Order: sequence, then structure tokens, then C-alpha cells
Amino acid sequence: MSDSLTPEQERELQAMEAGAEGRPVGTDLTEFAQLAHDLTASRPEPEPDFVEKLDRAVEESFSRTNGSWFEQLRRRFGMGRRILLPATAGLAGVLVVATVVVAGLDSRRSGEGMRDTAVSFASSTSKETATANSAESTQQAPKAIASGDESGLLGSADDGFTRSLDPVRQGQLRQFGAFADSAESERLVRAGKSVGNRLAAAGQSPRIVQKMGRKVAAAAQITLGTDPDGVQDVANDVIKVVDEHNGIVMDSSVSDGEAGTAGAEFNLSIPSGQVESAISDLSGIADLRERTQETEDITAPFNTTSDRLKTSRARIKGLLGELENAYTDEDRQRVERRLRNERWTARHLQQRMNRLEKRVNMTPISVSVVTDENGSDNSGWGVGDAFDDAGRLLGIAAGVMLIALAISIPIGLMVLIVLAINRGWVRRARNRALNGD
Amino acid sequence: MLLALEAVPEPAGPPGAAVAPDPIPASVHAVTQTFEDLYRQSRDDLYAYVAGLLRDRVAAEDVTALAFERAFRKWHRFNPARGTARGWLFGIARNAALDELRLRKRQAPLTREPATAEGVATGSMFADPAAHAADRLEQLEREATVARALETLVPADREIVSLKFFAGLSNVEIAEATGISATNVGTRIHRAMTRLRNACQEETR
Repeated sequence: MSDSLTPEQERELQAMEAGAEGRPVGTDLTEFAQLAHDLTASRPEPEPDFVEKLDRAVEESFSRTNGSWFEQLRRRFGMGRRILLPATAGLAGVLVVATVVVAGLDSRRSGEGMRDTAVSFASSTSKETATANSAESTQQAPKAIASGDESGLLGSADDGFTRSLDPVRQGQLRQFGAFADSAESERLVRAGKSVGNRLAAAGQSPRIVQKMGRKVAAAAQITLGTDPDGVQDVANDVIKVVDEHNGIVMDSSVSDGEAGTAGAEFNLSIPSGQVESAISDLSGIADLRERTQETEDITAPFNTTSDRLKTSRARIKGLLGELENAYTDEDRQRVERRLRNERWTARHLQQRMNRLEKRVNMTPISVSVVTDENGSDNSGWGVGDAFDDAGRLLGIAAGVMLIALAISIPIGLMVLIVLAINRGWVRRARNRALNGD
Repeated sequence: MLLALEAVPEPAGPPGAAVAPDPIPASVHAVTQTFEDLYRQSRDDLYAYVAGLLRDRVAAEDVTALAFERAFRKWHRFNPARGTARGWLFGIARNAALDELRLRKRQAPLTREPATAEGVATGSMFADPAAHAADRLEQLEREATVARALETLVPADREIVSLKFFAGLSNVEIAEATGISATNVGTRIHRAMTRLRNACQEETR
């Protein structure tokens, strides 16, 4: 059907409009005008009671009339433009609360007062030798690293966590690897009474950390912050914590001086069974700046070495049998040569086993005490820290907003789709009602 | 039965249609218009439209009140740049009426005959009381016929007829209220009136 009217229809329509308004029309269009007039004359008029009631409702701004539940709700809570401000404020409040909660969780996770500050090692102005002899340890380190055995061992088992540490830390942990030899440990026991006692205590009841039958080696590094005057106190507290946990101070150095230069370094070895509590205690000594813990599953090299050691011992036993049956000097010399080689191999494998057990039993912990010019404890909190904290909070707020958006956008889209579907359905239903379906 | 047009008395048109020319531009008028103005101007027209569509006085009163209340609540959202206030108001009323039409099960007849036609007999040509009474009777009969014929139309035709001849909306206002184009409004009115005319002829046979 066309939307446009023919000229004749136009005339008829105009006649109807004229009839409705009481204007004269041509005689040929009287019927249309009359129809329109009759129609207009039959227009329904509202009852006076209804008009009066409606007038009153309008005067009272519909305050007493009942609308739909939604309209009643909207009236009650003043929805519309007036709700924009409270809604925005509520949303902002939720955002702030979420940020605070997330920031609290984040701070609890990383340790109280911890800041992700990159701290370099302080250069020492004076060094004090602590419990273990640092010179001795530094002499042993190159030897251990130089041996092909050590490099192979670290290459297979240590790479996992040493690669994630900075080169200085890697060097220190390799140094710990050198001390992981039982012979060296025994020598250290002889070297110092307190150290010996602690190692003996650990050695009498070697506790291999086993998680579901696995051999696990761990390492940790902690950075503490304090003011220059507090370095010695912190160092004393570190020693105290080590004593309490039957640990060993493998190496230490304390530097005096101004903020930024004063500091201390400790290389500790703590029985693996007490690592968690020791780390917790060490973290509470001063302002915790950084804490890193790494674990490495060394079950595979442990089992391989153990199997090779058993094989080597069996060979030695076999060679001893051969030696007993050797009748000629030439045969005896040949067997003795092979026996020497095999014994050397067995000794070497035994050393490797000892190292591995040591790595499982004792966990190296590197503790750095640093001082910085901006102040190191909580009382020295300043503008820089405020900027840092503000940046961190802004980052968390942005993260919270991002998560909120990630949640609300799909929900919003779904709501929009549902609303659009409902709108289309209502429109179709109205059209059906209009067309008498 | 039908009167010659010259006999059609002066104005019996809907109140909304008999508005004197306004020297103030429509847009300015719309901006300065208050809800009270809109209500006073449109109350009876809106009721007439809704009653003409629903053919139920009680439902028409409910829908009229509901439409005015909704319009009152949404008045701050009315944008004169997007159309006339009457078109906007009748759009709200239309939705409410159609919702009522599709939801209600009852179809109660009008409790009061629409053809009161107070204005019909006020013309000067009804000077003779006897002729006046006869003409008035004839007029009432015609109006009753139209009312019955109107019942036979589908709601869509009743709606367009009600908007035009009960509420007195212009084609532009009808277009704003219904969402159809202004040119299409004329076509629909003509078709609806043609069907009404046929229905009237059926009624009088």
C-alpha cells in the first residue's frame, strides 16, 4: 500500500478536517465532513469527578497517587537526576574500600612496611669478621666453582633459581654451594665452638626436607632497612635469630658510616626445618625492604648420584675380589689401578651426595642491611615515600577499576541486550494489541 | 440523514484544535511551557483519545491519570527540540494505553454514551424548537451510529481516529506520538475514516 494519497483522497481528507472544525466544504464532500463532525461531536468527555480528582493530583504533584512499584520506589528514593550524586558517591566509596582492601592484602602478602625498592650492596668502609671466617670462605669459593663437578651440579640443579637472581647473589649462592661439602662443614665445626655446636646439632639429626618424597633445596635473600645508628643493633639481632634457629653465620660484614654507606651483609645457613620461622624472625628485625625465597627440586640429581655411588661401590667390591685372585704382579697392578680410579670416583660421588644432602638440610639465607638517605625506618617517611605510596595506591585503584570494568562491562552488555530484547518484545506486543491480534 | 455542511454548527471541534494563532514561536513556547500549561491544554483531549482507543471509561481514567503522572515525573527530560510537548505527552499516553489494551482482559463498554453533543444544537439555524429537537435527535442517532461503527474498527484505526478527531492533534503531533511519518499519518487517517464510513453504512442498513 502506498503512503501517498491521491488528489481525490486529499480532498476527502481536507473535507473531514474542515467538517471536524465546522468549516464549509463542497457538496460532493458533505458526507465526509458530516462523518468527521459526528465523530468529533461524539468525543468522550471525562466525568467531573475524575477531572476534579486529576486536577487535585496535579496540584499536589501526584504525591498521593499510587503508580507502579517502580515509580513508587523511584519516588521514595528520589531516583532521577537526584540519585546521580549519591550513586556516584556510593560507587566511589566502593572503589575506595576495594582499593584499601586490595592494598591491605598486597601489603600483608609482601610483608609489613615492605617497599619494592631496589637496594644495592653497600660498599664497606670497615669489616668485622663474625662467627665464620670470611677469608676462608672466599678462598674456598673459587676452588669449588673451578671444579667441573660443581659447575655440572649447579648447572643442572641450581639454574632454576640462581638464574632469577642478580649476578652478585648468584656468586654468593655458589659460594654457599662450596660450603655444602660435608668435609668443609666438619672443618668449620672444628674451627669454632659455637658454629660447631650448631652444625653438630643440625648434623646429629639431619632433617631432609621432603615434600611427597622429593628432595627440595631452598634459598632466600632478605633486605632490611635501618638508620646508620641502628646497623649494629640489627646485626646483633640477626646473629641472635641465627642462634635461636641453630643456624650458622657463614660470612658477615658490617660497614659503618653515613646513610647510604653504612650497612651489613650476612650469609647464613639455617636448618631447612626452621627456615620459615627464621625468615619470619629476620623479617621483623627492621624495615623489610625485600624478601625473595626460591625452592628447587633436586630429586633427579640426588637419585642419579645415589645410583652412581651404589654402582661404584659395587665395582670396588668386585675389584677387591679380583685383587684377591690376581696371581701375577701385572694383574695385581692393573686391578689396583682400576681400584684407585674407582675409589676416586666413589669418593667424588660421595662428596656430591654430601653436597646435595647439605643443600637439602641447610638453606642459605643472604641478609643485607641497608641504610638510605631518605630515611630507612617508618619514622622517616617523607615526600618521596608519599609519592611512592600514592603511585602504588593509584596503581591498585586502576587495577580495581580494571577488574570492576571487566566484570561490569559484560554484565552491562547483557543487561543492555535483555533491555533491548524486552523493549522489542513490548513494542511488538503493543503493535499486536493495536492491530487487534 | 447527513447534514449539509453549511448546517454544521460552529465550532464543535476538539479544544486542542481550536487554538488561536500564537505570535510566539512554537519552540520558545515549548521551552517556557510548564507542566501545568500542558496539563490544562491536554487533559480532556488526552482522556478523549484514551477513551476512544480503549472504549472503557474506567480504564481510560486510569490510563489518563497514569500518563499524566508519568509525564510529570519525566517532565525534566522533555526536550522541546525533539518535538512538541503534546506529541510527547500523547506518546506516553499511547504506551500506557497499549499496555492496558494488551494486558487487560476486560472490555467493558463505555458507561456513558459519548454523544452528549452540547455544542451541536447551538447553531443559529436551530431557531425553531421543533426542528431543533428533531435535528438533535437525528444528531444523537448519528453519533450513536458512529460510536457503534467505531467499536467495529481495529484498535489501530480507532487510535488514529481518536488522535485526530477526539484529541484534535495535528498530523505532526500524531506522528510524534505514534512514531510514524507525518505523510503516512494522512494516509492512515483517510483509510481509517473510509473504514469507519463503511462501518457506519453497515450500521444504518
